[in-house]
Amino acid sequence: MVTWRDLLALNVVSSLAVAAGVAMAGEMPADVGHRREVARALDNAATFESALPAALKDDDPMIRRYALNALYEKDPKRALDASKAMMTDSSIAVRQVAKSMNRSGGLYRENVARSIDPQYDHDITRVSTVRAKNGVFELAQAVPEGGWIELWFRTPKEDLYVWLNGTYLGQFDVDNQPGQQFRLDATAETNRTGKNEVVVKGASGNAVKVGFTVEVLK
Amino acid sequence: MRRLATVLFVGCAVLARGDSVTVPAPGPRSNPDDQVRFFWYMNERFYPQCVAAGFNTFITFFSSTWYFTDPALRDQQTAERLRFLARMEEDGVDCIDQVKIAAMGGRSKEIRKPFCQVNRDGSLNLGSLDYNNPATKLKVREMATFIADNLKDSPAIVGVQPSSEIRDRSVPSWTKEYDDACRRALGFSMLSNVVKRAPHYSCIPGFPVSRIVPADNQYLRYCLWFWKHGDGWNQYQDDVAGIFNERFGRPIYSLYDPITRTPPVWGSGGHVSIGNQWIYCNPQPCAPSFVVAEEQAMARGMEGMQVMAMLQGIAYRNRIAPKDKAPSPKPAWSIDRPNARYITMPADLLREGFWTLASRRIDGIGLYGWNSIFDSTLTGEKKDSTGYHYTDPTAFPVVSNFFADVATPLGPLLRAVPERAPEVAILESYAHGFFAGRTSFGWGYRWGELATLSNLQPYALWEEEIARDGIPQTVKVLLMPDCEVLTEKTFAAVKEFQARGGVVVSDERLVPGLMPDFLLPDCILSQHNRSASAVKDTAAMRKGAQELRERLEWAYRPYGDTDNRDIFCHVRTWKDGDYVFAINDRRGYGDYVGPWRRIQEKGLPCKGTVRLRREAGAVYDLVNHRRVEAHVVDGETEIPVSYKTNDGRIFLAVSRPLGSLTIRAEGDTLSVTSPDVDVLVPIEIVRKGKKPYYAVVRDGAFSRKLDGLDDFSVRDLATGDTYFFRGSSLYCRGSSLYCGSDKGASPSK
Repeated sequence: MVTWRDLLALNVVSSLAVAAGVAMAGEMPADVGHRREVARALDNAATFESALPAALKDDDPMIRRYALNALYEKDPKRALDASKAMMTDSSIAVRQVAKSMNRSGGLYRENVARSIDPQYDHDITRVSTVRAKNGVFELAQAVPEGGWIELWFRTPKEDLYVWLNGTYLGQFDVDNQPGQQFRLDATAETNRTGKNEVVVKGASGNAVKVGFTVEVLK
Repeated sequence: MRRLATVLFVGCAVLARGDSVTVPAPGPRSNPDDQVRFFWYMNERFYPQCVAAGFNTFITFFSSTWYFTDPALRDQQTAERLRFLARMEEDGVDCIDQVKIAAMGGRSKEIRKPFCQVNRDGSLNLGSLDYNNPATKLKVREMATFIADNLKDSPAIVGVQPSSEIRDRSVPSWTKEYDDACRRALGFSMLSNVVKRAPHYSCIPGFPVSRIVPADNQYLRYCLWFWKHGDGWNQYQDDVAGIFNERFGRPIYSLYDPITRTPPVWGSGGHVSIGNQWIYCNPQPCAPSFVVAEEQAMARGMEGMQVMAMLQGIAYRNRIAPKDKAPSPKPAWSIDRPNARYITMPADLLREGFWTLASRRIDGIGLYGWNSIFDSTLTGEKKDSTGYHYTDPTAFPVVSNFFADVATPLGPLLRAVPERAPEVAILESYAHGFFAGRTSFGWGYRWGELATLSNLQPYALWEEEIARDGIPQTVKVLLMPDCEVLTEKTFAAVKEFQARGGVVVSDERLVPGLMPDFLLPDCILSQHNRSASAVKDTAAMRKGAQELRERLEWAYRPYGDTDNRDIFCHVRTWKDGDYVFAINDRRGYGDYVGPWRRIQEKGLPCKGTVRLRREAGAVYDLVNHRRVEAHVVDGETEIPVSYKTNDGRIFLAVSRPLGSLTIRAEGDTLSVTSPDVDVLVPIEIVRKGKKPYYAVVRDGAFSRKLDGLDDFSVRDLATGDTYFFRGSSLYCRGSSLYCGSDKGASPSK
């Protein structure tokens, strides 16, 4: 097995040139210098607090996310507070970190559809049914008073994670719910007057195409 | 040599006991120092052309279907195979036999049902055998033994390929055997929500906000185990190789491909002697460079494994010349072969691809797709059939010329010169692969192509190497695409790397606890998001390369560089000798697939200057065998280059002009010495009535027993100096003229 140390031993000229390369290095660009300086300040316990407020509001999103993460490492509760404001940050890099904090570290939502809730012991009437096309649907009829909306995925054969209009709805665990219907309550998240978009991901995190029906029930 | 054979045979005996030992691949029998030049599956009709072109090894199949379904056909095919093998032996070429046991039964799915993996819902996964099933192991042993016994008398067989491309459809098998194996290895039962990767990290309750995963994370351990051991396929490779060694009673090396079609973890292919990976030259013929870097990363974790790489002679038609988007007028080939699904890889892309492969240190280079490289209608294929088709007759001549000018004469040199110690690395994370889903899977990152075109000659750095050795001290720049999740050790190592001044370049998804110095240029075009215009895509890559270099300028300049973004270079170094590969990537639309505007397949002229950060006393062109013009400016060496098409140059830069060789022939032993003990000097030995023999003078000496030394010549392939001998006396010596002569030396008294 040849390691980089063996290679270096054969690069006699190279090692001299590596040294020369250091000597040839030019001036560090200001943005790189700023990032490094802020990172050093946040990594240092003595300067952390003084550097934090500006870092959380820095123009550079990579600094904002670094600062938020650094705060989380030190004081998760304060970080959680700070992250609320950063949930709508203009940078996806920052939002990604803020959102992961607000998931309390995990993506899980209890979502029990009433039609299959064993504790819901009432008669149920189907008001309307819409078949989604490529994950998009529009309600055909208004939701009557006391009614609710459910997404019905029949019987999935794999784990599924479902978002509606950007909001996480819930998941299906094929092992804990084998052979069961997969229904999610979507009453609050559904746009009643326009298009709705559903994203379904599999266990790998990749989007998967799964057919489903939207039911308005009463 | 005899001692080596004894050592190898002891290795066989160990394998026969069921242990896993890598049997070293000794190189082609015709010249053990040479690179393997192999054709991956070949129809015998076109075999003579390949041998004449310089292919010294062929991979052939023994179909497992016959084993089960038709004994008469099986016997007939076996007899045919043995006859073909005898022909190979007569021609002095080698054969690696692919046994295809993994495809047990071929299309006869009934045959393999008892041996298949079991899906979570209890159905059978007919796409993959279950090697944890004892019945499968027994059947594999039975078949491998049968095949080996049928072939063992053929000396042409030097290697076995136990399988190819078999893990794509492999999944955890929901059986007691698999679960027991998991419990024994990890101490817990198989994880119900893992197929081949963990759930996306965003779906795992309690996943660290930092996205730094501890080594004891169950998902991480389980996924690592699955890829290294769990599905049993790596053990399968070892077992079949062991059976072949046992039955043949002599060392038979083993090969697996595609060796890096896994997350970036060591262990793919078990303990195979050779890992191979295939590569498509479209859309970027520079792609092989980083793909090989990934293979090298795999090999650094697999003691004794050698690396080969192979270009696809086929191209997916729907990517470069889609049938439903016919240009006007239609090229003739698309009318002649209307339904072709896999057409010939454009010749100029193959040429540049082979040049790129040559620039990397590998033990063998190969080509696949005989029925797109040769006219398979001559063997009964119909012109209107789907499948592989011969649509570019210029492809094989291009390969043949490359072999004649570069791969064959410089084969031993290309194999001998090591890579330089790394200065720019692309970090590939298995943790990211398991929890966030995107890894190269052996296709090479677009970032790899960008770094190659930027002359950064990227090194693939895997997390296991970091855990074992740390980040190499020579690395100055770390490119970190797709590092959304990292292991604890990697995270700590990158922190330390930054503390020592290292530059980190990443995308915006980098773990939030690391601060990148800047973000990678936003120019990366995946296979799926390329525009319909190759010109735009090429321009985007060039712009990205320029931006990357400009952003790095303050911190790093590569050792070898070019002043023209259409020309990229790669340098390998052995002591005082720098071997500089300068390759022209300037391409335009041709008339083959150019009318579709998906790729630029036609090489174009280009010129520029190659710069080397050293003062060279002399520079030699190793393809034209002569010293060339070079200038030292401000401590750097400048070498002007010009190209008529997208091919390459190999220069040897040394601190002083090379001295003369001293040659002695005593009996059947030829000795060549050079005063330049710190340079690898390529030589050509020509004997009357024999094929030329190519070698390298290493540490100032070369010695070999050769027949036919009563009338021979030795040519220094750097200087072009040729030494002609009759008996043991030098009777004349010829030399190339400095910067002037045509290719080859004219002897003068």
